[in-house]
Parts: sequence; structure tokens; C-alpha cells
Amino acid sequence: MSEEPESMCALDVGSACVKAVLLDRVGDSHRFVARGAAPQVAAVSPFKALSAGLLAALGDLEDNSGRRLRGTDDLPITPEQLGWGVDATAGTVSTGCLEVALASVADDAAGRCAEAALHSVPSHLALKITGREMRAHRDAFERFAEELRNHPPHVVILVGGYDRKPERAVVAGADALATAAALIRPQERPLLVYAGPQAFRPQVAAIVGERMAVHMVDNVAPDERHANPGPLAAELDALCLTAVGRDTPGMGLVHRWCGSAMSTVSRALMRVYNYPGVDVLAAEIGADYTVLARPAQAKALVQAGAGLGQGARALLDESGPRAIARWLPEGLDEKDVADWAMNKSLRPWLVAANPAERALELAFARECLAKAWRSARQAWSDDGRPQPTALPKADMLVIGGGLLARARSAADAATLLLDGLQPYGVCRIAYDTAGLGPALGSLVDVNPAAVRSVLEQDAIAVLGTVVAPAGQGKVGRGCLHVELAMPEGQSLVLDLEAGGITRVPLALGAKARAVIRPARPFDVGAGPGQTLEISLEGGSLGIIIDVRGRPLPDPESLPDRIATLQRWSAALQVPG
Amino acid sequence: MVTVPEAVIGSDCAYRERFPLPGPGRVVVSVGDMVTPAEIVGYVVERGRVGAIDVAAALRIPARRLHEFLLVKEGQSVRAGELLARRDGLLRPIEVRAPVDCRAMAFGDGVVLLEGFPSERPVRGVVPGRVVEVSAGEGLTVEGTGSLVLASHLMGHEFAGPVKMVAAQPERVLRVEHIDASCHGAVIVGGVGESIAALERAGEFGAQGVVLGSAPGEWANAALPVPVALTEGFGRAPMSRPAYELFDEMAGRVLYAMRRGRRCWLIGPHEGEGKVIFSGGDLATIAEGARVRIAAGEHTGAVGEVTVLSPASSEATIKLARSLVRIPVADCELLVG
Repeated sequence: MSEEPESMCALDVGSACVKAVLLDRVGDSHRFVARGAAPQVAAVSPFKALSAGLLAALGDLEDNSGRRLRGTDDLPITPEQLGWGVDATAGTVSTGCLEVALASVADDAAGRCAEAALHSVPSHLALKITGREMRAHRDAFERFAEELRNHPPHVVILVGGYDRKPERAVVAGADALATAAALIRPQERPLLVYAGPQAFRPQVAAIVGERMAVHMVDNVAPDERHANPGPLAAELDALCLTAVGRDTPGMGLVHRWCGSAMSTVSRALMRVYNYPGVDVLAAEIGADYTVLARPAQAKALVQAGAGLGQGARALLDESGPRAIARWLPEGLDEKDVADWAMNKSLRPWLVAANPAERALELAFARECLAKAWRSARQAWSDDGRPQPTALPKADMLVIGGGLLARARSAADAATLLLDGLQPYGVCRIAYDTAGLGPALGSLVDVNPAAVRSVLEQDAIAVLGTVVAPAGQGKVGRGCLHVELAMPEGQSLVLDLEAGGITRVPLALGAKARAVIRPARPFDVGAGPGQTLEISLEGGSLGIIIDVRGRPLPDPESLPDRIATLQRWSAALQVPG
Repeated sequence: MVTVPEAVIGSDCAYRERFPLPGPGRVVVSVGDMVTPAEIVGYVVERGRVGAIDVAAALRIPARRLHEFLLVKEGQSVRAGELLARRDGLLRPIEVRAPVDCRAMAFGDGVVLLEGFPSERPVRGVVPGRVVEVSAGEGLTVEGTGSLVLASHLMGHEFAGPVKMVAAQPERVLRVEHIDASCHGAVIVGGVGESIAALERAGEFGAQGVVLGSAPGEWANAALPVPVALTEGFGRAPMSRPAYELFDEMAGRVLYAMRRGRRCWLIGPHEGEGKVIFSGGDLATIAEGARVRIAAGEHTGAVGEVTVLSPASSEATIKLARSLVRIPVADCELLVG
């Protein structure tokens, strides 16, 4: 046997479903072999163990693969023995979120960077206090101390001050936190993560150490010019796996199955889509939250309250029914939106049973992506300040999630990417057809070559290349002149008017040379009105030229919303 | 093996629930006692309000010197007006006194954190039945038998009362005119919720709560005049017929509606053999021939038999009363009871 594991089982323990996938060598490469799945009833029944869904999914996988994976103790049979068991196991866990209190000495870059780091993991900022409020020792501090006592979070983060000019206020902050922590029962006390000036680490440890465990990480704002949320984000990511759900029945078995190769979904996506030289922006729409990962820039974002299960209700409450209903076809309205969201929060594992539910699911998914990108614009900016006009521009956009694994057509995936993320310029688009992204990401450290093989052969379907100019123009006005030199030798010239989508078939693997001349003020990446010459790659949908404008006009503002939506859908051949 | 959640609708169920106290406290019932959801089974400690006194500022001393001037120890109880700290002043001493009866809980950063004395909060909400185990200070286990429906959701507080059927059919919309004085003190079982006016009428007549098949999603965020339990979910789905028939059998008997996670347990306790063991809604495997309830789509709430199960396509064909439907397996629930 080679040193790298041959057969592998990866788990995706989610808050709606548990999935288990089996990978093994088939011929001279690794392939996806089988999958098992089960509903996560623990998500709605508080005393149910996570192990119920896990064991059911493994049982399903054993049936589908014909391979026994569990020993009599329900633990994995490793390494593989005579066709039983697997050589390695791994998994992602996305149940629950990290409860956090944030103490920031000043309302400055450090606080914003800490919040940006929090956005990269499934977290809930339950409490927040500034240095001024701590120093005043008045109502705000009393409320903070009382809340900390009544609902102890998993983690308290303390930030503030630069490494070059450290201010002692952060030490006083540590003292105030240690005082407040004394009110908490010792067994419930949170961990303190200190991400302030390095010079004060000994003092902070001495003050807080008796009452809370302390982890030190690099300063989130080392100086006035630089943000450094990475180390804090990495620490929080690790804490997600150890602190969240540690008392949940059945979590022990999940840990035993995943072993040291356990990962959060965001970390798994960062690993699996880390292609050197290619700027991939990956989106995963889950039941509770939506994850955006951009490995080339080492940036991840977890958008809580934006999912297609429990997260649907929070999304509805925050975005409002109109934001979702504007994408719906005739016959569905805001009442249907509310009903669907509520039902998904009660039974997050449900699958769309008819075209109407499918349309609702796609409408919610669009808003999940839009909301996540709005947050990313702020969390991913260099100084934590929002970038109001930023549109996603990457070499490749990949979308995944349970919804996409059930996508009835590639056009559904393209619709979501174009409407939800609104990419601009020229970029390739793809989707995870089998919902394997997170599970494969957890296996990257185990056998990277096998993961790459399965990802490319069994998971990712390339839809094609999108050309989408930024800017807006009156519908019907000239927008884009495109000359295409197709691979068979013929030429194609398109003069496109603003407001629509045009598709040019181009097979997967084929390339077409394009000269793209946008009219002012449109911009395809070379500047407003500037010509771009580029090679475009094909896919199942070929070349998609989206001249609806960026930002996309609000469908509600369109004169004939239903007809326009139908025209857009028809252009991508969306069924129904 | 295809795994789906259970849909429990049974006239003779045995249930057993471990009920942990929601915090440190004490259990006040004993093994063998009969209990209902309305009874107090224990008390938990509710800690007092927190107050902060900036002693360092009051004494005009640096925060680090706080301990030199304190007259109390951490954890010490003090009466209102009792001295917490004192410093000799130029003309007279500067004193800091406790504003109320409390405990001095923590000192640091120049501050004394005070906490009001704790009180006890009663704990209710166990399933109806007999106490079979008590873990002092932690919780208790109750067993019972009775009719049981694992409902989808409960909006508002838990409730109990004798069942009053007002819907002639499970798909009938609950209307104002269905509710009269005979609903006083009762749990009204209707079909489908549509208008809050019907709930207002139920409240006016003193109904304890309403059980419906489904109701509009916007009710979830509304202040409802009476609590509402939903057997199926949100929308316009009729009440599942087995559930409707079970409630019809229970007319006049007491029904308890209890929140458990996002679900709701509807229990009508009675002596019985407990043929169906209920443990909160488990996962179950289904095969062809299984009776299932449909949980999504236009057939939500319908009950039928699986005729074809296609694990490859993750779909099931269900034989309903008048038709065959093909739906995702994930939308099926195994009917238990």
C-alpha cells in the first residue's frame, strides 16, 4: 500500500442533513464511489443526539456502497481490511456557532478587524463593549457583566491599540473583563482571546489568567495602516471545532469519526478551491448560513442567518419578504415566501417537491448570496470599511450546497451566480454538482491528489464563461459589440443592447477568441468604454453575455417584472 | 436503507422524558409522584441584578490601590448602607457604602461588582405522568402513557384543556362562526388557520389554545390572542387525517401542548399499554409498503403507502386515497402509531 490513503470516507455533518461520501481508487485515479445521507433531527429536537443522523448516513452509505465501514462499536474500521472500512476518515461540522463577546478598547480599526475575523467563522456576536464603556463602569458595563454571567459565551475577544504605540487602556480592559468574569460559575467561564499589542501579553495573562484561560494571537491591527485579522480568524476557526457543541449529545462520536481531519466548512472550502494562479471565489449555500471563500486572497466569510434551512427565517426577517418575492414567477407572493421560510426552519432537510417550491428555494438562494456578498464587501476590505460599489471579480466563481446538488439544470446554477453574486468583467463559472466541496475540503490534508481528482472528475461542472459589463444603461440602448473567433474557424459578431442575456454555445474545453468593445459607461474590466481582447472558455452553457447591467436593476423596478424574469430565465433555459 | 424522520400519531403511546432543570436548583417532587405540565417540579436559582461601583473614582485613588481601602472580601454579604471602602480625607473620611442588600462579588479595575441576593424561580413543564427518577439538583425523569401527536410547531405559550372539535373536516378553515361559548376553557381543534379574527374570538371566549393543521407564515411573528399548535406546518395544508381522527376520539379529554425544541408534543394522558414507544421523534428506515406522511408540496399532510422507492433518484411513489404521487424521499415521514 502507498503511504497516502487509498480509500477515504468524508462526513459533512450539517444542521439540516448529514452526508457521508466514499472515495476510492478506480483504475488509475481516485473517484467518488457512493454517498449516504440522513436528516439531522437533532437540529429541531433539542435532546436528540448528533450521532443519530451520523449513523443513519453511514448506514445509508454502507448500503449504497456494499462496504461495511463501522465496527461493532460504531467507530470507523481503519485502515481498510479485506474490503471493509477505509484508510482514512475526515469531515466538516456546521452545527451551531461560536458565541462571542467582543471588548474593544476604542471604536477603531482593531474592533472592525476583530469583527471581520468573526465573519470568517460561524459566530454570533452576542455582546460588545468599548473601552470607554468599560472605563465609565456605569450602565453599559453593568449590563455587559450581567449578560456575561447569565449567558456565558464561548469566547471573549480583547483588542485595541497598535504594537508600535501600545496604550495601557487595553490592560485596564483586561482587568475589567477579569472582574466581570468572576461573576460566572468557574465551569462556565469563557476563554479569552487576546489580539492586542504584543507588549502587554504578560500583563493581560497575569490579570486574567486566574479567572479565564487565555489564548494569545497576533494583533489584529498592528499599526495604523495594516489590518491583520488572519491569526485571530484562524484561532476562532479552531475554537469552533473544540468549543461549539462540546456538550451536544453525540458530538463525541462525530469527533471520533473525523479525527484530526475535522474542519469547518469555510476552512474546507479554502483548501479545496486553492488552485495556484487561479483566483476562485467559491460560495456554499447551507441550511444555516452561506459561506464565501476566496483562497487566493486568504479570505473567507460566513454569513449567518442566510441559509435554506433554519437560516431562511432569519433571512426573511432581515431582508424582508419583498427582497425575496421580487424574484418569484407569477402565482407566488410574499405569503408563500413566509410559509416556505417557516416550514424550512421546522424541517430544514425538506427538498422542493414542485416547481413553486423550487422557485421559492432559488429566490431565497439569490438573497443568501447577495447578503453574503454585501457582508464580504465590508469584511474583506483592507481597513474594515465597506466598499459600497465593489462587485465580485474573480477568475472563476464556483457555487455549491445541497440545493445545487439537486439542481435540475446547469441553468439554475448559472441563474443563482448571475443574480445572486452579480459578477462583472469576464469570469468562468462552475457548480458543485454532487455537493462534495466541503467533504473533499476536509480530506485535502489527507490525500490532496485524490481530492483534486474527485473534484475535477465527479464534483465540479464548468458552466462556461460570463461576460458581464459593469455599469447601467437604458434598456434597448447599445451596450456591447462582441467579435468572436470560434474554434471551428467561423466568426460571430454580436451587437448587444442593454437589458438582456445572450448565450453563445461553446463546448467544454473549447476556446473562442473575443474582442469586446463596451459602449461608455460600460466596463468589462479594462475600464469604461475600453476594448478587451480575451480568450473565452466553453462549458455546458457556453459563453453567457449578461448585459442587464451591474449592479443588476432591482426586478421590482422593472416595468414588466414577470415577463422580464421569464425572458432572463429563457435565455439560460431555466426549466419551469 | 432510506432514513426519514418519524411522524408520531398514536392513541396508545408510552413516553419517557428526562427533564433537566434549566440551571442549578432543586427538585421538589419524589419518585412515584404523579405530575402534570402545570405543576411545579423544582426551583432554579435566579441570581440578582449586577451593579458596579467605581470605588477608585469615589475615593480618588488609582485603580491598582483599590485593595488597600476595601473593607469587604469577595463574596461577602453586605446590608444597604454598610461600608464597602474608606479612605481618610483631609477633613473627614471618604466612604463608599452598599446601595442595597447584596453581595460584593468581584473587585478589579478600581471597581466593586455587586450582585443582588438570589431568588428562586419555579420550574414547570414536565410531561404528564409518574416521576420515575430524581437526580437531586439536576432534574427528573417522568414516564407516562396516552395519546400523542408529534406536532410541527407551537406559537405562544404552552397550554392545556379539554379537546373541543370545531372542524367537520381536517381541511376546513377555522372561522369566527365556528367558535362559541362552549369553547370556554377548551383546546379548540380546527382544520386550517386563515384569519386571526377566529383566534381573537377564541380568546374572547376563553379558549386555552388552538390546534390547527397549518396557518399562515406571518402568524409566526404576530402577537396571537391565543397560543396555536400546528400539526403540519405553515401554509394551507389540512390537518393530517390520522391526527384529526385521533383528536376526534379525544374530544372532551384533556390535551397538553408542550414545546420541545422547535417541535410541539400534544399529549392526552390515559392509562394504556403503551404499544408505541415515543422518544421524541427518531429517525426510521422506510421500505416499500411503509405508511408515510408527506411533509412538503401540495400534498403536505396526506398519508399514504410507499409503492416504489428509488434510492438512485431519491424519490418515492406514494399511493394516496385517490392518486399516486411521486415525491422526494426527503419529504416523507414514517407514520408511527
